[in-house]
Amino acid sequence: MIALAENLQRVRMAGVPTVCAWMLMGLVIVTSGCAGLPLNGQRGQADAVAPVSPPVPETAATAPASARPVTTVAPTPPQPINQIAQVGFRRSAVHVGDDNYVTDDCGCSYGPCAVGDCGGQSCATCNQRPQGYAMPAMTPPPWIYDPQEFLCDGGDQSPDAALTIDDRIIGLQTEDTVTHYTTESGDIEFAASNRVCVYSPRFGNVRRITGALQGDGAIGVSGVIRPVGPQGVNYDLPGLVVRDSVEVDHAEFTRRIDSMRDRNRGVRIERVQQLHLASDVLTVLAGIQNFSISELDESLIAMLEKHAVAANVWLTEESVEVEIQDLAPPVLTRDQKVDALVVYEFPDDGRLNLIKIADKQHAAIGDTITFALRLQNVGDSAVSGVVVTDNLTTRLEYVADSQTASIDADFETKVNDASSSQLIWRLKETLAVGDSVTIEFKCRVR
Amino acid sequence: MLSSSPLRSSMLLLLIAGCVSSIAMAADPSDYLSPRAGHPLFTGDMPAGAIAATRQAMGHQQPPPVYYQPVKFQGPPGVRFSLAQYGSFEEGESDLMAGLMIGQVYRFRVTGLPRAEGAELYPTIEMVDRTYPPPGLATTYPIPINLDEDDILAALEGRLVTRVIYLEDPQTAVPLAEGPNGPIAFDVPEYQDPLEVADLRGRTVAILRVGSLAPPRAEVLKAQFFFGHPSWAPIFKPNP
Repeated sequence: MIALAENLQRVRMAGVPTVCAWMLMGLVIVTSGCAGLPLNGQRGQADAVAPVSPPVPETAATAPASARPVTTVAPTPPQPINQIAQVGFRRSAVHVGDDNYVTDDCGCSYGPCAVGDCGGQSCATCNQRPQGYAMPAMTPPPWIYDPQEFLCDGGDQSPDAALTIDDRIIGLQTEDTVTHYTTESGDIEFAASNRVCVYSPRFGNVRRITGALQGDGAIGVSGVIRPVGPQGVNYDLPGLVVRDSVEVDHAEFTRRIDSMRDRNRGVRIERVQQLHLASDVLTVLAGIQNFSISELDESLIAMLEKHAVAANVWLTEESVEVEIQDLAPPVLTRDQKVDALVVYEFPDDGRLNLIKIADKQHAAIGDTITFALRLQNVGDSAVSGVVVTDNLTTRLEYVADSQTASIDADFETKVNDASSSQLIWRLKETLAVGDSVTIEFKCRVR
Repeated sequence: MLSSSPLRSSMLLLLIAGCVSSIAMAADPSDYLSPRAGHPLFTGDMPAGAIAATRQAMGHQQPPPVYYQPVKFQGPPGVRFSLAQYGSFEEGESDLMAGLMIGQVYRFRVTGLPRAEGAELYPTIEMVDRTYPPPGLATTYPIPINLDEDDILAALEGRLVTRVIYLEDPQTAVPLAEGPNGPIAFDVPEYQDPLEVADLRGRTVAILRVGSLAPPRAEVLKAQFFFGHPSWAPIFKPNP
């Protein structure tokens, strides 16, 4: 009996961790199942924004006839209007090309109009809030944009522009608009303009013409000879084996490694930055002389002592000694006052501010955009040798003889790397403090 | 024996707790994958609708909003376009504009072909992605879907023309002026994938396929021919 009791006790003692272990194993399975496997693609949608509008009957939203989509699905029988209507939410109807469009005949966002029945009431009547209930303000979602749809010009992208010793600007990418000038202290400074972006999407087409299968539904290619390897396979080589002349209907081909790569767009390396100035580092080494004393004689003792004393003087902090002679005793005067105050002004260098604006916010292909550059000396002294450079991007074509400048300047255009133009203005005059220059030019969008 | 059993059980509990915590902390392998990896393992040879559906499943359009992307059909002089409406086609317009849903495939009809009186083509347009214009400019800058005479000639001869329409990257744009009839097509040979080439040049928004397929006479095949009759929104020109 005692032995049985001991066994039972042992079983209980061993059973508790076993049960716990099985429970935890179940938890492990559930946890790993949640963390490791996507649930039929629902994982990515878990944090998606829930639709704002509840299922309101189709008759609730009365869109204008021009904005209704044409559907070819058979019309469904009208559903009865829900008796319990959600207060405060509206269903956005179809509107072409507008994400945030909410159709509403009377502009009501809540109230009785939420079910689509205005009943001839005005908006003020519709928008009365229920007693004790305040609808939180529904902010429209932020406008999503794609920078590829914009045509930009201005700024100074990295690496920054710099001037070489032969008066040549390096680090000037397309779209860059910079100015450089010489300050009173002789420094050459650069200033970049702001970036102006115009909505101007341009689309391209990549076309491939292949043979198509005749028949319904089949639009894949068939019987197309695809080269395998770099040289291809010569199918017309005579062989000893009699080949069947039946055309293959399924071609196995090997894709090259290039097509297996990730198709993210690569970043082109425009050029490798070189040193701006390389001084002759061997000049320092040229002056070094090598002394070596192989033997010491008595004639060298004086020189050694002299250098030893010099080394001691240089090593200790007592190298500077001041001797003061004929110093008058200090006299304490209590009635001293300031005779005069002299203010010395050391003005800072001149500084240019370059602002760029465009006359359009969006431009179609073929349109002409007028850009304006305003240059102002916002520094403390005059600047000279002002040169304004605008490196146009590929899709902007400078309209010939369209530039004007409010100050006398030499204008020059050069073809740049982007097969567009680089516009250069060299101001002939010095820009005093507060002076400003306005430059205008026109570009055609291509 | 009695003293070692609690020790073993506690060790087992610690081990299991460690496993639970490590598994709970473990990152999903998909976390390390780029969400915008282009079109992995998908080519332009795939049937119409596959690329658009794949991109939607990849999360490019999530949740799929009901957005009607304005498109504009353009062609040689005299060519008229009409979209399928209730399984039939209307007369057609030379510069048709319409709002098409992203992720759908639309069948439209091309008539008035040059030097081919009475011939008709029934191309498909697969809407892969949309544009994001500033508010109010959507219909001003539609996606151009254009056909030229080479396309029409090849399709009438029984060949398949695949045009991948992409949004050009302005940083790597080609310094060529656009033609009078919309973008100029870059021809790629048969062994190259137009989708891959388009992905290198910009963002693919639509795929146009022009073949010689004619609408079926059997009623049951029409749903397949019209890709499930997706809805579209007409865009009317403002009255002068």
